[in-house]
Amino acid sequence: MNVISFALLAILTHTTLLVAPGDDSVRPEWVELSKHSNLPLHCETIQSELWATRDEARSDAFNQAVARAQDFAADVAPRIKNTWQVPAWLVHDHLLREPIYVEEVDWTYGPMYRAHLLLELSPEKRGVLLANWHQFVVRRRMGQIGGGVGFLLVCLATMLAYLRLDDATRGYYSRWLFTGAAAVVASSAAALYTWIV
Amino acid sequence: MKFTYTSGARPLEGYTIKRGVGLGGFGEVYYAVSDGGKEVALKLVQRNLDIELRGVAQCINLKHQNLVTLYDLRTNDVGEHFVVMEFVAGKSLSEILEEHPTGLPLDDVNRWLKGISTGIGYLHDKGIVHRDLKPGNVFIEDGIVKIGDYGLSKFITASRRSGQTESVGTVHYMAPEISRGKYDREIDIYATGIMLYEMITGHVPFDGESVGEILMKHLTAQPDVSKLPPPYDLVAQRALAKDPAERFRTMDEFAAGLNGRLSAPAAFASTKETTPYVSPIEPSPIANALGAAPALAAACNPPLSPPMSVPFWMLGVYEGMAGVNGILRFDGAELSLQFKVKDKLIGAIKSSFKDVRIQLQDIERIRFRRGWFRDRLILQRATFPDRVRLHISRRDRSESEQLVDAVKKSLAANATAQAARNRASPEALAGPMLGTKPNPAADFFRDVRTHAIHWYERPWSLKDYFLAALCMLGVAIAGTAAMGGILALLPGAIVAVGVALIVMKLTKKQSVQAAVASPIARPIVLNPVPGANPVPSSAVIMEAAMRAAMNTQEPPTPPSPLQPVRMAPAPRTFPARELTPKPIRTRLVEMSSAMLLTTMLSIIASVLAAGIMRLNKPEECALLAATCLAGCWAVLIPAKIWEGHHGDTMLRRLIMAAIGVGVGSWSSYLDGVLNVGWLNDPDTAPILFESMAWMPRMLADASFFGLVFMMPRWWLIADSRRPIKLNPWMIIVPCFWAWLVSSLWIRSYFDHVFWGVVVTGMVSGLVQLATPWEDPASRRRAV
Repeated sequence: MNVISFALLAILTHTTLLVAPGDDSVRPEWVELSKHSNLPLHCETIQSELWATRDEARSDAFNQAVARAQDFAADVAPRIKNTWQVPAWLVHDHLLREPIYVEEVDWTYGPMYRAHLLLELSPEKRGVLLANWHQFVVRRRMGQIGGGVGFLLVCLATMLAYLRLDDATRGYYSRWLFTGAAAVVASSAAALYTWIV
Repeated sequence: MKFTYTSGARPLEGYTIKRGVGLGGFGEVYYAVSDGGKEVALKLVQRNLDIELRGVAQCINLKHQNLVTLYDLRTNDVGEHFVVMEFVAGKSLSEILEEHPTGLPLDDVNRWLKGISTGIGYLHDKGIVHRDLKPGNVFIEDGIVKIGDYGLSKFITASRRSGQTESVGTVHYMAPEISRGKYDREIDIYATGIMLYEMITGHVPFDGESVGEILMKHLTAQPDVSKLPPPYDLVAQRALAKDPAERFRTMDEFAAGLNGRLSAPAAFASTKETTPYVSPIEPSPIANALGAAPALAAACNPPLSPPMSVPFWMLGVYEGMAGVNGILRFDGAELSLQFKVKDKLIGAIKSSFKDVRIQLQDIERIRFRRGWFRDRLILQRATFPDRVRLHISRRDRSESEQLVDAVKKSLAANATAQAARNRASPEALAGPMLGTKPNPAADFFRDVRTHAIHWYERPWSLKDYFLAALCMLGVAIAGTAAMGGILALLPGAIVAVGVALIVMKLTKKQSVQAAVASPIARPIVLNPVPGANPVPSSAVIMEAAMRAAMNTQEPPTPPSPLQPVRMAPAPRTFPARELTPKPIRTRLVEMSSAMLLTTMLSIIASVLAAGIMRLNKPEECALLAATCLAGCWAVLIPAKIWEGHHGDTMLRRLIMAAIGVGVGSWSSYLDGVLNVGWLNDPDTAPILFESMAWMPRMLADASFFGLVFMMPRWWLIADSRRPIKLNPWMIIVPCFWAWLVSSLWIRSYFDHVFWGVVVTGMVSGLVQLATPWEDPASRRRAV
């Protein structure tokens, strides 16, 4: 049942795909240590709210971890906050120090669940985050430059086609050809604008 | 071509336009159908209205099978004038000539000439001169030649022979007397002679880069009729006489001159695969110049004109090997000449010697170039000779005679010394310094110097470049191994000097160098007969060409009957028509298609280069491709703008340097934007342009590409008339230069020294691959 619900959640959200259930039978030591602020260097714990199921609690904790990672990276590069979403796989692969622990809490109307995770926010991990941000920015800029060059190429090809067709038709359809060429250029410009903006 | 009316329009009541068929100097011509179904040609007269309408009105009732029939002259509601005339569905002679670039079969020539002479003869009999006879106005339909475009026709009467005011027509077929405004029906005979020449050879006898140059050739130059078989050569010679009185008086005489060859009516063969006339083996240039001319003169009927009265007197004929410099000293003054073996001949005249005029045989174009440091006179030949001949004339006859005597004496003394040296050392070549005294020590050093200069000045082969590179490499290795300390810089300096010399050698083709004595360029013929054999002054042509270039008005020079010196035919001939710039539209098409092609090639080449250079990041590959593409476009755009035009080389270099700075800036900008970070400090890299860390890289890139784009003449590699499609030297030399610049100048700013070299090589190679290229062999065949 647990596996089925995890698979369904994995289909619905990409974050849950990465939040695989851990061994919840043994309470980890770092959960207790967090209460006394006695964690390892550059480590933080994150707790979810109380949820009715384990997977919901796990996802909530993981989403909080992603947001925290984004804030952590934005400390040195504020532009990150508005331009980039830290990928979940990056948090899972690089920042999550221990498997997520989900504890069962007895509540007035039954058992509830709270997830705990240990996040490493060291300068090295920030470097990893920034490197990935750079990669994202570079690829986006490459796409923009490629779009610009593509637009230039479309203009060139349109002009070439216009000249050749105008010669081939001995100037009979110059206006139509010019209108068509202008339409091609305008539509490609609009497409470029839409894509970039 | 753009027409005022499109298909289906009815600008004239009763006629529906089907399509436009041509544009002329006077208006547009349409193929139209009347309401009754009659196919007609409608000519919309837009320019020179009075001349056109007057000509049409005079010719409208003429009827002849060799003339395009004129039906009517109409005006529509908006005041546009239309000439309704017979529609000729066949091809024009110009189209036929385009299909036969090496000329028509002689049988076809005869048939064309028969139709032309009959039709024009009919016009002349009616007192009408066509005035715009040219291949574009002569058509063939169902085997019948038809002459069209009466727009310029004009009545000629005895009383109106002088004082014509209209100077119109097509410049290649324009008789010389038209420029004076006094002409008669002989101008049609002259135009027929031009067409005769063109039909047999495939090109007109007088061509040039500008209208002024062509006109001046009509006025002064003699056609090279040696390309025509007899009796066409004599007929063309007479039909193209400068003096109208020496031409055939009527078209019947013209036809009779061909000894009945025009009397054979038969089907045209020009639409089939035919073998054009091939001129016989040409005699040697010297034989032509010295021997064949009198024979030709004697053969011509009527005899050529008496000597002209242009006040320039021949000093001599100077002949020498191409590719070397020569010096002639006349009474202390100096005349510097430089010959080129390839496509250009450049002559520099000292300011103190302005009254000296040079005439080159086979001149195809003469240009006057204003340079930054000096003005240059550029004489471009149609041929690629091994030897060149110059006619040198001077304004003052008496002084010229004295100078000729002095030169003769100097030559005699020099020849004696030369013979003595040759006997002593058969391999030694003596210098032609005129007026020098024999001196063994001086001779030795002079010989060494002249040999070295000659070796450096002459066109280098691949072997020469290889030898020079090998020598420099040897010096560098030996010097570095043998020397230490500061002396280790010496081999590098020697190599740098050698490289500079090679680069100068490669780039100074159009520069005028100080003249030096050459052992091979020696005057071998000196003709001291200024009175008996005056040479027409090409300065007249040059000045006219310069005036034409500067758009200044100058009364036309009276035609100068020329001494009949046959032009030396050469085995490799390029007509100046090919040297004229292409239309801007054509260059635009070529440029845009090449730009598209370079885009694809840049991407492919960058991926390959990235693999070789082990560039792992995609952004590095993208940077390489984008820089390469920018470089290609930066070469293509100015090259296509300049193609066919000659400008100041230094100015173009500076422009290319500025463009290179732009390419470098673009490259470094991309480097920062893409965060390639070859230069960036890892600590500052995340900031992405928020610091000034990019400045050194941008300066380095800009200066690097500026220097790289300045040195080689990049615009030549995109010229469609370059000698070979892909010149490896035009890749190696820029790469070497780029390596030198990146090593010596900005090495500290480049993590990848070879990155700039790779980009340079890619730009050069891809531009050559992407730009269209016209095979010189096919161009020669087309001639």
